Amino acid sequence: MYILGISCYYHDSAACLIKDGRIIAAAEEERFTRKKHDNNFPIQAINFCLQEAGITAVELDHICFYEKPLLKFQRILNQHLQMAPFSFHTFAKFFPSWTKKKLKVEQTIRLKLDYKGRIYFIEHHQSHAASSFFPSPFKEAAIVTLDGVGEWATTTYGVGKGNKVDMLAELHFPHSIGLLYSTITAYLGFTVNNSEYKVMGLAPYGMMVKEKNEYYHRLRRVIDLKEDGSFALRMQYFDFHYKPRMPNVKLCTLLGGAVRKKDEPLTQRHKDIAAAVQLVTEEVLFRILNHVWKETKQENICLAGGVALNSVANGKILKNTPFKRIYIQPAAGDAGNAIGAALFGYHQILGNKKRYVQDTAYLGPGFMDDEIKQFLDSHFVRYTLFRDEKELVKKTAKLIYDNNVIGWFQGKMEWGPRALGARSILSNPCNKNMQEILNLKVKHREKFRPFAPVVCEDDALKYFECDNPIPLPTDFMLMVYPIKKQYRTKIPAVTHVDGSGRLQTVRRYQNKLYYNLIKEFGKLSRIPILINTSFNIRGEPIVCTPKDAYYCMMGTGIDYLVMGNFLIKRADNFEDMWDSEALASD
Amino acid sequence: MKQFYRRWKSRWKKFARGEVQTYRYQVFYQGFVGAYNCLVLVLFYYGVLTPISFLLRLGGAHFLRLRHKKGSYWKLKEKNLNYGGRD
Repeated sequence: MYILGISCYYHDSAACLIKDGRIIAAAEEERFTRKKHDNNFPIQAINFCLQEAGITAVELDHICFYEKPLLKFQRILNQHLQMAPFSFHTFAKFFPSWTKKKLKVEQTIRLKLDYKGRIYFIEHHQSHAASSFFPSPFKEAAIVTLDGVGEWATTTYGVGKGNKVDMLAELHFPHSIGLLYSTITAYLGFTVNNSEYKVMGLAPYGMMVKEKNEYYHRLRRVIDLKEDGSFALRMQYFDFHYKPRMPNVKLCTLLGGAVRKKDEPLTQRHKDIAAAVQLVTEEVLFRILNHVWKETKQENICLAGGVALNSVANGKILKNTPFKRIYIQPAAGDAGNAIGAALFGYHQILGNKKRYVQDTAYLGPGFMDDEIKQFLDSHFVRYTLFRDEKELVKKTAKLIYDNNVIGWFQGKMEWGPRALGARSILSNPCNKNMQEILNLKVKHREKFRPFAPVVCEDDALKYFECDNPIPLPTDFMLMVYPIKKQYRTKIPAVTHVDGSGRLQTVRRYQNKLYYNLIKEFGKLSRIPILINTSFNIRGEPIVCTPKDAYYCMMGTGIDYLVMGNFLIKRADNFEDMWDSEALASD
Repeated sequence: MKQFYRRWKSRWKKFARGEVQTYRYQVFYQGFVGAYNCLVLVLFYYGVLTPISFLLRLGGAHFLRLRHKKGSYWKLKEKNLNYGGRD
């Protein structure tokens, strides 16, 4: 039985195909269109999924869409009924897109795919819940979903048992912790729905002690937080429900200054505000989780929604709540709802048993050596071919050890926002200048942003203060843990200012080549840890095809590209070089 | 709004210069369609939505549930088993 899951028209459009409850392909549309956070109908992602399964849309048994458009439309109309006549600006922005495409989802699906079967519409937060519980290794678990907003709900909790998810309670728009975080993101001069992770990265530079951070106390005034984790935002501080801007004058006054402009330097005040919103988010999250544990008495917790991508908070959950095990799906945001909708259809609506566990994120397009060779030859690229995988690993490890920056393009592309060793840039974490080299030469991004360490699962406990046993979300780079004090100076390039690292662990069965590379590097440096950052330029989606990877390398300071069994040296192909710096943007 | 303005400014300039003959038809046609859409939008917002909003609010309706209360803000989830429908 084939079920296609679709998520689109808000941000991060994506498609996923499941066969008998097992995910066989999933990808975000942005990777194909090269438009970051592309929200258009994911036709290219759908075509890839169908191609991967070797079927056409006619052979699909069901299609599941990730939200209920009419319910959402009702919420937006209500929002304007409440705020009229002051909300014309947002009304003029939203109304045409709804009448032209969002309310016509069903017709669009049928027209574009020539599909005549059944289409199911699953509630946004139920899709989130399903995206986290059904691929998890748990038979029973509590589920919490937190994001900006779905139809009405912004935060929900419930229980998953067998092939059913049962959501028990929810908080409604406009009271949303995701929207509070986004408001502060906008206040700090970053892009909403894109740069929230920058605020998370900036937070440790500020005062992370509640009592000493005055902005924490000021921010607590804008949220009425109850003991059970439920909360309401004091809307006099916000404009997002009726204006295109998020923070209003009252919030600016409360935080002691105007909204930061993009080119304005980041001051200590900005850093403290970032720390404050991180502290408030963690406080809300832990109160909700403790309440959910009291209500459900479950040992396992499944998290989903955009807020579940807050890896700093995720890393503290097992220490601050009674839960013993945690699962978060690699694409916890809206893209992941494509998986959630499809699995909800398969299990909850059609009543099939739960057997599948999603323990890898390699669900996107992959390229055989023949296809890579064809591309390289047709573009007259000079390369070295390695017949033996061991030789390739040895050579790459040596190049990394010699402080070269490597583009690593292997196997199937990752599902979700993180590069996990299929489309990654790898380099030496022991070099203290590497963070600056990567930031300025390759990624063209802000200096304060840290890089992530990747370590084999069997070495993780030696270098990091992780939860034991290591939770599965760590494999998807969704948890931040402190680096053990004695190793912080040895891997300065991945040690954030507070001594933490957004860790990725690799298990051998997930990605043998990547695992062997880290081990081989460990033999040379005595530290089996690499820097892993996404293979893209700032403002562009992660590379998808050999062509994307090659052009990304030629436009940046990446020294070598390892693509399949081919090693390409940038300096050997100087005629293709270009400068990507001018393109780098949010 | 800025984008909208810029798009129409560049179109109008091209039109005024008479760069492409067929463009003239496009500018007129799309201009009329755009103006009609704007008119419908303004009429609907200020002519229908705003009066309804005033009347409902006079009746004490609260759509966004902005009221603060003691105790808990959690709402019991209403079951929606209409999976086939868009609502």
